[in-house]
Amino acid sequence: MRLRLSFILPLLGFVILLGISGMALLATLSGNRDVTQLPSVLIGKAPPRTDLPLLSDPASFLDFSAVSGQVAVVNFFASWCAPCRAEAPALEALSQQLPVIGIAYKDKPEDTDAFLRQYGDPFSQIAVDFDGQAALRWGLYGVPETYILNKQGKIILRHAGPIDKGVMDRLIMPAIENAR
Amino acid sequence: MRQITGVQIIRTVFVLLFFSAFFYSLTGWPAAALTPEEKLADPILEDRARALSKQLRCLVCQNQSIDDSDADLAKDLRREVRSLLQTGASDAAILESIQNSYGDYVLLRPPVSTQTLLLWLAPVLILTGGGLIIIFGMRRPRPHQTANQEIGRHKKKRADRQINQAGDTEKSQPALPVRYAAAACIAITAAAGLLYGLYGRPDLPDQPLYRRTAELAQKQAETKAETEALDTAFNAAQKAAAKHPDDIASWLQLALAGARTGNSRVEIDALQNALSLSGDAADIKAMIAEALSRAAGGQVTIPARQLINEILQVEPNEPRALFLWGLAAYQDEAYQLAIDRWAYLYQLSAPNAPWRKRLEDSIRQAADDGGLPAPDLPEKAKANTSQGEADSSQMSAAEQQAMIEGMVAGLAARLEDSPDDREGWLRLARSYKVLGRPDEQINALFRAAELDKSDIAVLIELSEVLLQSDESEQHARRIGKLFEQNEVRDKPRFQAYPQWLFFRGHFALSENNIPLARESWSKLLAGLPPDSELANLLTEKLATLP
Repeated sequence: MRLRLSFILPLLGFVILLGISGMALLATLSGNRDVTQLPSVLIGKAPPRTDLPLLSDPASFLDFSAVSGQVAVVNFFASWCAPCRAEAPALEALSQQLPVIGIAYKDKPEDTDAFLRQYGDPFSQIAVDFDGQAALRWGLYGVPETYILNKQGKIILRHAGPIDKGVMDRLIMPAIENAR
Repeated sequence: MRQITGVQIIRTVFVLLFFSAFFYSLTGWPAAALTPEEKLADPILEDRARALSKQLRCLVCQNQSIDDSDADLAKDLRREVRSLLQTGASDAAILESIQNSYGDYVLLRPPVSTQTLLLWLAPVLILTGGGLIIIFGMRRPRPHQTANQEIGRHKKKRADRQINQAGDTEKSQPALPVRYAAAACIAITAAAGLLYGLYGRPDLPDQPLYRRTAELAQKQAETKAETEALDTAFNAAQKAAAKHPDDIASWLQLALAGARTGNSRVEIDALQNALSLSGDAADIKAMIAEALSRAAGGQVTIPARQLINEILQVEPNEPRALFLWGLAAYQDEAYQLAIDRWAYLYQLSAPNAPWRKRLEDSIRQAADDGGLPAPDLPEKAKANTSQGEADSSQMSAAEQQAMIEGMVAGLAARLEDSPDDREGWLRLARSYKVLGRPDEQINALFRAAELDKSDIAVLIELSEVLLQSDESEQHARRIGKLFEQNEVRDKPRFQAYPQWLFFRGHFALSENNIPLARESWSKLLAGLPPDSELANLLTEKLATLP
């Protein structure tokens, strides 16, 4: 039987598509690619300008130079966000070994205070992004979101969503170890 | 009679579904999600904002643009687009700024790169592939679609043979559709060439992207370096000003950095500091007037006009103030006046003054808009004595005061015709405040307060003004009534403004309503920290009540 072009062409297209999807699937299965995470363009860059007042003293501003030379964590959170409560113990554990900077996203200061009293305050500095405009410069998708800065003050990891045990062991701790 | 098979029924259902989905999609054009308060006042900027919003992806509902999406993040991005537009950023700069935070993914039309190449080529590949399949498919007649599915294998083979024989005979004479397709290909190619000849620019040289990438990258790097330099300068200036708060130069530096980064609040605050350090220097005051106008989107506002007036009385030839003064007249559509003022500044200016070009353009623009002949612009007159200049300027300062008063009188007259315009009354009250006419200001505030009794902020402002003026019993009664009506209607909101209790007590006392005064102050005292200054004052006041 002769192979017709009208048969070969669609078959070829199908095989190519199958190959591409297969490669993506393999990458996902082997753990190199997390389908729920979109890549951040800030990786390898210094934090964007974040001129935000501090919760404790609205006359002073957030200052990343306070953590320069150290590996540090930046965490966007809000009192109204349920997953933020879930990751409070994880942040507490991180704060034992390195500075954690908190940015209260679209949250009333009195609510933030109440939240910190209830769930603990792991933060070395807390800034208030009341209208959420500064978060846009970080490319924030929602809260909670966590960034890790290396000793040179560059962003090396972004994780959108709460830090659970899996994320802690698979992403956060290896990144911190690497940066040290 | 034809037999209807299951396959046919399924096919019919699918066709119907397809068409209903198609028509449904036509009726459901997505409505824009933006709320009225997000809109910009300037219709041109608003149009640009809408166009930009349609190009940006909402990151949380990923198949919608931020123009369509109701998500909070989309709303924030819309607000960011609008605030960037108001700083005068170009469309490309705004898209780039958002792309810098969110990556290519935020653009609904992603740029061509190695990663997106397949995406961009997909339509071409699919069209070419599909076209090839159709063309090759047409060269052989396919088994009859309506062939009965129940026919056995044997019968089908025979039918195939027949069709193959038929195919052999047709080879000598190609099927009609192929001829049509070939003709269509040629016709479309010819039409495209013709259209390009008519509407295209075959005379222009090629400008392929690869030859421009270096140039574009350089431009991009330059703008990036520029914004970074501006940001660093801004931060440095902020630190320097905080370190040397007594140094005028550091405040001026901060103001400049604020202006360059579009941070008008910092700019105005810094200039105010510099002004108080300099002891009211006219040139710094003029910078404030300019900054105020820039913050108001180029409108020379009444506070700015007031400043200009003050400056020109002291320093009649302050160029910045003179320019804004002309601009104020231009914005009032008093074109002849604007031309006169600008021409005056022009003949004062040195031939190499940096603003001369802009001044010429402005004068020409005013002449165009007013349908007036453009004046001959004189060179700097050498014989001009400073005495003469001062005289003409003094006169014009008075004239300018008259102009502001005229504007206010116009607003007042309009409000008498439509007395329900609360915003108008508030604006009038502000103007009277600027002009230093408290009686009229009080009256306008009363009108505004009586139109919306729940607006506690206006009521408190009114109380403060009344407290500073020689209040009459009539005023006390009038405001007392407002306090009375308010208490019943909107108690929770009052609790946000504790001052109201103080004022209610104060005006109750003026009306000799001792019990109400006592009640108000006692209530306020209960909410104050003991031993605070106000608490002591209130205790004292309460003790003197009869």
